[in-house]
Amino acid sequence: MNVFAQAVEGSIVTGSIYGLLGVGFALLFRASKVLSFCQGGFMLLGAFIFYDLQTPTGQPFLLSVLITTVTVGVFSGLVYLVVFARVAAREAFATSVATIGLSGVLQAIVAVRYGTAPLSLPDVVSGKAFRVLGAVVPTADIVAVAMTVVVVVALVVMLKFTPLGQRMNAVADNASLSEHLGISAARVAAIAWALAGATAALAGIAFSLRSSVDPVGVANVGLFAFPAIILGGLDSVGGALLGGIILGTVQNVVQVVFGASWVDLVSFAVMLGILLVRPSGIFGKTEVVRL
Amino acid sequence: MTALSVRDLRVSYDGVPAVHGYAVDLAPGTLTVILGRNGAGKTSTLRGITGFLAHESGVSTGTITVAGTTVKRPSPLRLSRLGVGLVAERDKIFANMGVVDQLKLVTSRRADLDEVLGFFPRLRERGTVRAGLLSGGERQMLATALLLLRKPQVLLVDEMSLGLAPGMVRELMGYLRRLADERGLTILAADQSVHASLRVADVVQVMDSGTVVAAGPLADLDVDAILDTYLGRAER
Amino acid sequence: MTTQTTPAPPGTAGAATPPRPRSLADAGRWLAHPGRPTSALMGLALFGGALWAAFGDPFINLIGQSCVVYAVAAIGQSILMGSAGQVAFSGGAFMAVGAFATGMMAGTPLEPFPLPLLLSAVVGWVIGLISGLPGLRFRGLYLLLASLALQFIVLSVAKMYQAAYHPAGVVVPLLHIGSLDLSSGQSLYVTLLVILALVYAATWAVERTGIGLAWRAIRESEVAAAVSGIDVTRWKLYAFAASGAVTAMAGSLFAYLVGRADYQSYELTLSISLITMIFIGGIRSRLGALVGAVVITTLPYILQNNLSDWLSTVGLDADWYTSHQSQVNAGLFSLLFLLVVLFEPHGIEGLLHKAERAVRRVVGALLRRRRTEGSPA
Repeated sequence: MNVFAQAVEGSIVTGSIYGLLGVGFALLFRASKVLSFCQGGFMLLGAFIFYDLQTPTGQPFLLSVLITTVTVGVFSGLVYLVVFARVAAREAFATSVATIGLSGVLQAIVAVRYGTAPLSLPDVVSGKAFRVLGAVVPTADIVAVAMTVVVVVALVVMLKFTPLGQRMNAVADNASLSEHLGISAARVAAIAWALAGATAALAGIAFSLRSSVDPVGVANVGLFAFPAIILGGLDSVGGALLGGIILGTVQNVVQVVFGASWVDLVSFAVMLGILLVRPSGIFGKTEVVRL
Repeated sequence: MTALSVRDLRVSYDGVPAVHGYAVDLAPGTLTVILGRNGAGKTSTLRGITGFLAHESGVSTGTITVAGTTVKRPSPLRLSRLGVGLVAERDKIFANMGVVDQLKLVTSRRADLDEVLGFFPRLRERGTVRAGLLSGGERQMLATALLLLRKPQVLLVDEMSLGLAPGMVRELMGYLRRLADERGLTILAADQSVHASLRVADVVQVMDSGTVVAAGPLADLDVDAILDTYLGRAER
Repeated sequence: MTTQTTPAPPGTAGAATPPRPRSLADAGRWLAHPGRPTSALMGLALFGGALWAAFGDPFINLIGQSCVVYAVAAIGQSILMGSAGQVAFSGGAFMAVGAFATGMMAGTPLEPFPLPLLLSAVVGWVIGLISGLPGLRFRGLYLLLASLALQFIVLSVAKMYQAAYHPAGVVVPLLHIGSLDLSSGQSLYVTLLVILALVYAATWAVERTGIGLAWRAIRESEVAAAVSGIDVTRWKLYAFAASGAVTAMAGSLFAYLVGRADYQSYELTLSISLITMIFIGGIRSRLGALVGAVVITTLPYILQNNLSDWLSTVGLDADWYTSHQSQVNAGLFSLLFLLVVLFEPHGIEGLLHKAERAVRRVVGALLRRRRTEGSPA
């Protein structure tokens, strides 16, 4: 087994999970100007709903994925409409701070329902592994990466070519003008939140295929995705994926060279560095800096 | 039936009043201009009519009636659906989109697009340019075009002459006049360019410190007196 | 404890502050100034609570000690949030800094109290200053993210240090001044209270000077402040530094209280608790920070003792609460945080202000009616 190739494989998979979180985040940030700290919470919800659907007897994989993402997505959209929408229009900043509270609430709900001990999924996808260019690639990893690619491509296409995507771009560009032109910014933002919830749920599913899930650990991944998001640029959908992969790579390298305890430190040091040097990230627009 | 009626519009920011009971009846197809100095309350009035204040922690009360339909809690979305559009003072275009792309955002009908581009030929020339790069006058045209595509009955125009050369201001005022004459649009414009406004207005309201101090058809007003008292001699 | 100036309602801006009361009538007039009744009420409640904890049983004493330590931390955070108008997630990190600095002094010549406390303040000041440098360019959301990064970075360092040298946490020596043992019970409580009073007094005094004015101006509008000639950069940096120093001191005190510095006590949840304290009490004043600290610190105990009973009286099954107590408490806290930040950021102080204004209106209307009715013939 080629250590280097394996490290690359690991980076791509971790990067994909961060990418899924970041892509949804970018969508909802653009549409509602809210910096959401609860993508981790939705990821958690997705992981555990998927777990519920797979134990004790496994529902068909694709059906479970569909049910989970739709449930979490709808929940996320509703939460935005009911709880955040009115305040977000006036005070995006306060709403951003408040999303941490939502993450905590979701964590508590999951912890009460499922306990705090890590849970492992039974073998959902085939346990087969493939040899690709010197690396061992389990089916679960292929599934995770495939989901990410499909999602990102679909979102980019939607944003560029569909009326909904154009409305999202309009609201992201100038929410008040959109309202004057008959586009409901609240509705567009709610859809963005729903999509973000769905991608977070997918991230949760991908995560649960590879490791055991516990409320604290999974929710924290949502926070650890921030370095990736900042790298890519807060408002760039494509950048979020790239940021995820770069972060995943950095984390893998650090883990191999310095040890696992250095990973968090380096990740957030990178994030701080980017904030200082190029706050809009690799692909973000510089206007974002005036927040 | 009036195209737009406003009764007792009061606007305040954080408890500080900016508009003290504004009222107007707009006859269809007329061009009404609200004149006044900086800070007189003109922008607040227009924003109060469309309910565009939520974004700025402003509060407005009053009754808005659009062609017979009374609206107690106006919002830009509601008024847009009733046929009232506001061309705002700032942030009036989608800076990151191309000219034609954002026009297409509002309507996909080729005929409508051609018609509005025919009205503003300069926009057709700047077709694929990112709107953020347009000149001030072109932005104003684009902003107006976007709203025209919604086929409004009433157009509110806020401080469109800000930062523009007198020639461009006259040109834009000319467009407003044409819209009222050729398409029967009812227009309420707030502006500081007295001279250009007086050339095209049917009705004039003069605002000072949140109150309308003089109003009426242009022909009935003592323009010189108004200019001296409220707008300063230099405006001539 | 005298009051922090609360923002005057419109119309009274520029009204001269009444002079210090010299007689009972004067005192009445002084109290009638808008905002004063609320502050007086909060101050009295805190004072009463402090006395009760001083002479209550050991358990109350212990809770009181925690309240005081968190109160110091809350003041530290409120310097940044209430003065410079920033929200930061790094409170836990600064407390960790103070705690670990204190722990590392054990066995060195710098061990005797209050040297570690002062050293923590210095280290907190320096790190706060450094953390303020990105803060110069950042506002709002970017500062939030930078402080989040700082929180994780500091905690990682603490975790690695602890894992390498003190796996069970850095032991902190018992608090004593010379041969006077102040390490527990009433004596510890009083010591902490004295320190809190000093910190509060110092902050109050600074607020009265030009620095406090500069901070308020910066909070209202940085641009306007800069235009008025305020050196925004310098004062903002001082706000970060002062906040870091005081919060680090709170961390040091916490280490003395608990007996050790363990990185697990200072994670992001602590930072969020601190923010909650500020919002619940009221972001505008130091008094609000104190009230918030007391409320949030005592809430888990109140819930623990009473929530099961309350649930039973309403007819709901309390079993799921008792078996998952810590998670439910954490969830309730998060919910409280969410609601307060979204809907009532001025917290208890804000609610009291509203009540005060309502009372004023009623009293004012009554007085007017009596005057117009005239005296009965």
